[in-house]
Amino acid sequence: VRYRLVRVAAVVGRNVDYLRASPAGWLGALTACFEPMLYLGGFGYGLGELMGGAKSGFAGTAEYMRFLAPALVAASILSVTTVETTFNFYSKLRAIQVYDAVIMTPCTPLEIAAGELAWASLLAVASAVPGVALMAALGLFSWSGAVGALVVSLFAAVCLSAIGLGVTVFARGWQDFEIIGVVQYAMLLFSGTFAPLENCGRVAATIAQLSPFTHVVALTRAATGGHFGWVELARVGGLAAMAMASLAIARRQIARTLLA
Amino acid sequence: MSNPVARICAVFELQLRFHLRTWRGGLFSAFVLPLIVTYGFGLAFGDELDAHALGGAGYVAFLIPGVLAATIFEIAVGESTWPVWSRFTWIGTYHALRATPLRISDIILGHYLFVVLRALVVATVYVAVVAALGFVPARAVLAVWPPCAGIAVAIAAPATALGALVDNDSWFPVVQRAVVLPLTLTSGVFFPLAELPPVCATVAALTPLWHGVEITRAAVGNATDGGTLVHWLVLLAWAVPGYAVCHIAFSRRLAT
Repeated sequence: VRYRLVRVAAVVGRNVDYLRASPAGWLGALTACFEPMLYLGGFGYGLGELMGGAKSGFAGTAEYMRFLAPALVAASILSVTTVETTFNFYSKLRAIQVYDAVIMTPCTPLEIAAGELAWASLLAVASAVPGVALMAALGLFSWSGAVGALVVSLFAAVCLSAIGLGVTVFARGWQDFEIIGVVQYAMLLFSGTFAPLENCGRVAATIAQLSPFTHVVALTRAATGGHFGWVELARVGGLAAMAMASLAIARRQIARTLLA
Repeated sequence: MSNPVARICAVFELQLRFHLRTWRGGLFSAFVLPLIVTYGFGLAFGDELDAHALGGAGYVAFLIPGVLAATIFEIAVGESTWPVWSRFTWIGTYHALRATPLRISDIILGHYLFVVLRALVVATVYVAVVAALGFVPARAVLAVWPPCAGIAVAIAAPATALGALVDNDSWFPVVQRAVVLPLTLTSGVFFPLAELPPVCATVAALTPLWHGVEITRAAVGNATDGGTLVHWLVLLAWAVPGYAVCHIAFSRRLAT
């Protein structure tokens, strides 16, 4: 088991080296940190001021921002893990063929998948930290809520990364990332991120339950609010099951690609 | 090929022929994504927002020209960063073009012309769909052509300059996150600029997207806010220096 962990860490380490070697690498990671803050500034102030219609449950900008903030943490986790486990992972698997070299070492397909999953998750959580700290400092949630949000973020990042890998192994070419990108955007918009799910109507709200991101957003809100019940436990269970299945699929397909 | 129009059209035709073989790859982000964004935000916020602050016509009507302008912005940046860079590096198209009687100016202007065509196709389809759904009048389908062409050139010019200047393509994701996303959020696409602190309005007034959003909104609503000329002048003020930098960067890169 110890050697397994060392090999997983080696896959992570290769990604760190690659990031350090590219001139805009760190800058790119840094800009990812600002993404939730930008959305908070843009949508929080911009749309919060306009909230005033009959259907709105929000008393004003401050209340809307408290609603929005945890969802933006989840959105940044989705954004970073998707980039790493779809586009970048595909490029390593098929285009620049990094793993053709890696598989010649003692690394197994499962360790490659686990390494990529760990890398994407750590990067996503690390880039979420400044945004979460800012939101807590602004009083959008408590500091204990901030810690809860980061714990949920790590869990969500692992699940979303696993799903990303499980989808990407079936990509037929670069053009499929068009579809992945649109699906990612649709999940972002239709998962109760920017407005309560009920606003979209009963049918859309039911369909949204099929999207893993809906549950990620709900869990992050539960964590910052400090309440955790049976519903949340069911969400965790569902996401974990989906992640395990995705990881198993990814492992099998990586093995087929590299060892065929 | 002494006729400059024929030379520019030759470059345009090259990119068009390439696009006609690969257009399926851009189908979703060009045609489906703007409709998803309109539907998603319109549905989520439609009844909640203060219609008075949006000009009284409701949120979806406010959102449509903004999403259109933002989509043209994305397409112009997308067509002018990786594709331009790859024609210098991976594929070498521009070196091949330089070996013909084409001039640097033909190569650049042919590219701009192609970006304009893409912008107009996307705009026509998007506006036709939302017009069929009754959100905008049918005449908006043609009325958005001039503003969309204007945005396409005003964005393609500086973006192409960037594509020709950088030595590594890892800068493009940084531009996407540090320039494209903040501009999309603070240019009056999703909500009026008046909702943001005044400093944002000042910054937005210097950038091309906000002016593009304003003229698109005026074209869809068949109204002018009195600043049409200023909006077009700002777009021009991005296009002309952008072209000048393109010319310098292309000349330098194709010198050897």
